[in-house]
Amino acid sequence: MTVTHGEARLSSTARRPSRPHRAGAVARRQRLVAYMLLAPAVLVLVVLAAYPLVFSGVLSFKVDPLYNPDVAHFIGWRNYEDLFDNKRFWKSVRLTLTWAAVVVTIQMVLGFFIAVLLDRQMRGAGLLRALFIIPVFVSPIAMGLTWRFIFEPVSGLANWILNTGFGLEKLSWLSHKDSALTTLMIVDCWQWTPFVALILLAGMQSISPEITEAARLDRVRGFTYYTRIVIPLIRPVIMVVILIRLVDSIRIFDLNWVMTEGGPGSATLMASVYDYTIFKQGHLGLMAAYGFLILILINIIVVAFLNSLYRTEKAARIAELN
Amino acid sequence: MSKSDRDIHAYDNAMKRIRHHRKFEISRRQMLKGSAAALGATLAAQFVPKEVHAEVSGTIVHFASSGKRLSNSLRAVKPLFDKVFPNVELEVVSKPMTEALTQINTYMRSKSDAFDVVTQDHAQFASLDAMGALTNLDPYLERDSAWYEDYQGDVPENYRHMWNLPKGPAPPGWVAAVAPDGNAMMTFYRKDVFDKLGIKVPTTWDDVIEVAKEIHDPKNERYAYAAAMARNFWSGYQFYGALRSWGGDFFVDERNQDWTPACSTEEGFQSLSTLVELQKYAHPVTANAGEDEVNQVFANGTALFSPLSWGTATLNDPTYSDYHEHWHMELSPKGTTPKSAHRALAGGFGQFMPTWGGNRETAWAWIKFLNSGDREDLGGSPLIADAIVGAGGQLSRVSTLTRWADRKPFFVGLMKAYPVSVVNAPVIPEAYAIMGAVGEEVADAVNDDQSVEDALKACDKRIQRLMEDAGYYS
Amino acid sequence: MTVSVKQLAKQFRDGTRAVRGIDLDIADGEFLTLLGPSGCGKTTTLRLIAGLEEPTEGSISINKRDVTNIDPGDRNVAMVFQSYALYPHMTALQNMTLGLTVGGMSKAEAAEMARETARLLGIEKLLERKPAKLSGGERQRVALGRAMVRRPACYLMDEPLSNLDLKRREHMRTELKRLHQQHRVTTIYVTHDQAEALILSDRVAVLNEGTIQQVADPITIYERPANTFVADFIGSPSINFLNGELRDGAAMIAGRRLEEARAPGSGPVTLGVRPEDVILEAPGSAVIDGVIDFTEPYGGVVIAFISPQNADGLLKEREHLAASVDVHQPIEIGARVGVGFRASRVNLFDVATGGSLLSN
Repeated sequence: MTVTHGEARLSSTARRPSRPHRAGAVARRQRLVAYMLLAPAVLVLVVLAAYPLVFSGVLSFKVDPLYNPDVAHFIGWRNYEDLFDNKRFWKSVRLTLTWAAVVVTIQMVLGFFIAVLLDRQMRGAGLLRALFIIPVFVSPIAMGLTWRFIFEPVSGLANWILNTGFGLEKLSWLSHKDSALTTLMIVDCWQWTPFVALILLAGMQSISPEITEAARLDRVRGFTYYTRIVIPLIRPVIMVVILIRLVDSIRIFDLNWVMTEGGPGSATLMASVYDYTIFKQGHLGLMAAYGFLILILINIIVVAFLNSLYRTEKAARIAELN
Repeated sequence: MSKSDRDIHAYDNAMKRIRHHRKFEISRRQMLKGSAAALGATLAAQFVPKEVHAEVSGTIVHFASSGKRLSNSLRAVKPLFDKVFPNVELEVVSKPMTEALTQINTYMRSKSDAFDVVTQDHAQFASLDAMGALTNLDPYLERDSAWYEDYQGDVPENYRHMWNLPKGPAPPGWVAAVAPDGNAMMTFYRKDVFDKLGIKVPTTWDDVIEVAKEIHDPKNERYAYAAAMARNFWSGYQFYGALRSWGGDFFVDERNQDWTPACSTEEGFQSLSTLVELQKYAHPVTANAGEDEVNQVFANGTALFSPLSWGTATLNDPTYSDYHEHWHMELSPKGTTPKSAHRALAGGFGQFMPTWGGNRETAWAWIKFLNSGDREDLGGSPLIADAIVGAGGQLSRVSTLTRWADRKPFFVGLMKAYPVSVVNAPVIPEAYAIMGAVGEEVADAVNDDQSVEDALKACDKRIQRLMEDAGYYS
Repeated sequence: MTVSVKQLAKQFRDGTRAVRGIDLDIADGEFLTLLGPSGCGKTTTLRLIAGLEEPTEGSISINKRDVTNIDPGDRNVAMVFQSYALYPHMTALQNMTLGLTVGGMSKAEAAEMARETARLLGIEKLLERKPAKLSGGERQRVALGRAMVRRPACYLMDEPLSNLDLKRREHMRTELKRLHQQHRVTTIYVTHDQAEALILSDRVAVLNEGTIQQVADPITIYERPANTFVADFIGSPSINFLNGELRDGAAMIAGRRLEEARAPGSGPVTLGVRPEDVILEAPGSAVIDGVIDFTEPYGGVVIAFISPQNADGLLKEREHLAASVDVHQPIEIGARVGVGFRASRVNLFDVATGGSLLSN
C-alpha cells in the first residue's frame, strides 16, 4: 500500500507524544535503584579508602611525633620541602624505580624462556607446574629470613656452596652496598619468575594448535616463531603480567625490610622501607608526606607507562577501522 | 655439692630433659619458654617462702620483649611468685625487641589498658612520661620503706637514677620504675686469642685500632671486630658510646638544658672516624647487624672482639657458645684527649605500671618480688635471682652480681661499668628519634656513602630540626 | 612432484590405530582425494604426509626424496587447513608473505609474488585487511593464496570447503578445479563429501578404518566399486543391496536370471544396483513386483521407495528398494509396479568379504 510522504509524517507525529514521557520516568527510576544498590559499596570504599587518604593528607602538613603527641602542630609545606631537599629521598625513589625496572624485566624475560621450555606436551608437566608455583605461596617474611641465613657471608649456605663446593671466592651478598640490592633482586626473581612463567604459559597454550602447525609448515621456527607469532598473539597477557609485577615491585617491603632494613648504609633503601624507617623514628607527618609523594610519583610513572603500552594497541585498532 | 651448684645442675638437667623430649619441632621461642618454665619449676620446688599472701588476688598482664633476658626470665620467676601469691593470675606477653619498643609506644599513646606491668627500655621513659603513661612509684616505696632501703643500698645510685623523672639539673625526682635488669656497653674480647698473641685489652680508641689490625685474620675467617651497625638506633648507640667516651655529647650541655647540637665537634669527628676506620677490620655482617647478629658471630667464633657492645650474658652460657669460657668483658675504651674518660653507656629495662592498667597492688607486689634480692625477711630469696640469671637475665643488684661473678665474666664487666655508667641516650622524648636519625647518618658514613664531616653536619641539622619542632628553642 | 607413501601406519599414544598400512603413489600434477567417513584416517594420513605427525611405521617420499624424518617446513609442501589457520594479528598480505620472508626473500619481492597470487584468486583488494575483517570465503582464499605463493611441490588440503555455505562451496570448487587445471600442481585433498571428491579429483582414494578400500578415477569408483563399503559410501541416494545367487556364471534374483551380470563361480551373492539402474515397468512383467511406499523429490529426478512383494530376504538390510525416476514420469504412491534392473551395470559382491566379483 502506498502512502504519500505528507500523510506519513502527519500520522507518525500523531503517534509520538505518549512515549518519551513514559520512557524518561522509567529510566529515571531505574537509575535511582542503581544508585541505591551501589550506595553501600561506595560508602565502604569511601570509609576504607578515602578517609585514610584524607587523614594522611592532613597529617602530611603537620609535625606529629609518635613519642610526644603534645608538640604536634601544623607546618604547612615544610615536610614536602624537606623531602625534596633530602638526598636520601631521591635515592629511595631512584632505587625503587631501578629495582622495579630491573626486576620486572628479568622476570618477564626469564619467565618467558621458562614458559617456552614448559610449553611442550610432556609427562609430569602438571607436577612440574605445581612445584613451580610454590615460591609464590611462601610467606615473604619467612622466605626473607631464610634467604638471609643462606646469604650470611661467613657461614651461610650460599657461600659454603661457592667456596667448599666449587672453590670460588666467597661473595659479600647482603653485607656490602654494591651487592646488597642485586642479592635482593635474586631472591625476588626466585619467588616471582615461576609465577610469570606460568601465566605466560597459560597464554601460550591458548594459541590454537592449527596456527602453530601453519607456522611450522611456513618454516617459521624457533626464535622467529616466538617473536613473530607467539608474542604478538599473547600481548594482552603479557601486558597484564607486566602491570601486576610492576605495581607489586614498586610496593616492595617485606623482603627488603627483613633482609636488610634498607642497609648497608642506604644501599637498599627503597620507598616502603624508607617510609617505615621514618615512621619508626616517630615522624608521622613526614611519613605521610613521603607516602603521598611516592603515591603520586609512582602513579604518574605507572600510568604513563601503561598508557604508552595501550596506546600502541589502540593505534593499531584505529588503523584497522580506516 | 653446694646449693648454687645444685641450682646449676638442676638447670642443666632441665635443659637436657627439654631436648630429650623434643619429639617434634618446637620453635625456638617455645623452647625458651619451656626451658624457662622448667627452670622456674625446679627452683620453685626448692623454694620455701617465708610468707604466703593468699589475700592478694587478681589478674595481671605483663608485657616484655621476647628473649632470654627479659620475658623468659620473667617466666622463670613466675613459678616462685605463684608459690607466694597463689591467688594471682600472672600472664607474660612478649614480642621481639625491635618491634616491642615501637609497640609499647603505640599502645601507650593510645592509652591502652591491656597491660598492668610493662618492661621498657629506660631511654623511652621521657617520652612515656610525655604521654602520661607512668605511675609514680614514690608512695609505694615510701610505704615499703624497709624494702626500699635495701634496694637503694644494693643498686648503684647513678644507675638507679636512670629511672627517675624528670631529668634536669637536680635529680633525683620521682621514681618511675624499678629495674632488676641492668646492662652496659662494654668491651668484649676473646681472652684465649689475646693471651695467645700476647695482647693487652685496649683502653683507648687508638689502641683499639692497633689491636684490631693485629688480630684481624680474614683468610681464616677470624674477623677482628663486629658491632651492631645497622642503619637505625644500633649504629646510633655505637656513635653515642664513642662520643661520650671522648667527652662529647649530642648537646652542648644537656644537664643545664643547652640543647645546641654538638656532633660537629672534635669529639664527634674522632668518634666517627674511628668507627669508619674500624670497619676495615669488621666481620661482613656488621653493616646490617643488630645486637642479635653480633652476638651470633661472637658465639660462633668468627668475630673476636668489640670495643663497644651491649653483648649478652648468654655469651658465657655453655649451651649458647663453644667459646663461652673465653669471652671476657672489660670497661669500654676512652678517647685520648683530656676531656675523655671511661664512660659506660648503661641501659636496662625497668618495670613500670601504665596509668591505665589495673590491679595496682597486685602489680606492685609482682614488681617488688622481681626486684627483691636475697633477703628472705624482706620477701626475697636467692632463688629468685637464680631464676632470672638461669633464664638468661642480667641483674642490677650488686650482691647478686658478686654471688655469680665466678661463673659469669659478663657480670664482672657489669660491676666495673656501673660506677662509671652514663645514660645511654638523652633523657628526652626525642631520644629514640635522635638515635635513629644519627644512626642513619653514621651508617652511611661507615659504608662510604658520605664523608665523616658531612655525616656529622647532617646529624646536627637533624637534631636541630627535631628539637625545634618539639619547641625546645622557643 | 610425486608423492609416495609406503606401509604408512600411525598409532596414537592412547592406543588408537588411525592409519593401518597405507600405500599410495601420487603422480606429478595429480589431484588425489582422500575420501571416507569421519574417523577413517584420511586427515591423519594427510598430516603424516605434511609432517605434522610422526608415523609409527612406514615411509614418505616427495619427489623420490625420503622425507619421513624431515621437518614439515622443509618438505616443500603447503597446507590449507579446514579452519584456515590464518595468523590473526597479521594482514592478508603478511599472512601470505611470512613463509617467504623467513626463507630470506626480500619483503618487496615477497609482496610482489603475493600480489600476483592474490590477483589470481581475486583478493588483491583485501590484502591490507586482517582476518577478522574478512568473510569466510575471503579467508579461505587467503589461506589458499598463502599455500600457493610458496610454489610448493604439493598442496595438502584438509576439508578446506567444509566451513563454507553451499553456494560458496560450489563456487570455490569450480575455482579449485580451474586453478588445478591451469597450474597442475600435485594436490592431495581430504574430504568426506563425495560429490566434491568425484568432481575435483583425478583419482579418489576411499579410506575406511585406516586402510585404503580403493584407489581409482571417479568414474571407476562410481561404476565399479571394489567392495560393498565403497559402493555404499559413494552415490547419493545409496546403492541398493540385494541378495541373489550366482549360477552358471550369471546372477539370479528371485528366480530370474540376469544374463549380463556375469561373474565366475556359484553360490549366494550380493548384488549392488544403483537407483538409476532400477527400471520401473508394469507389474507382473519384470523381475519382481513391488508397491511404491513413498517418494522423495531430488531435483531433476524423483526417488521412489518400493517395498518388494513376495520376495522375503531380497533386500539386504533394508526395507525399500530405491529407484530413480525422471521427474516427468508420473508415479503414484501405493501403485503396484514391476521392478527391473539394467543388468550390465549391476555390481556383484562376495557375500562374506564384500569384495567385488567382477573382473576389472
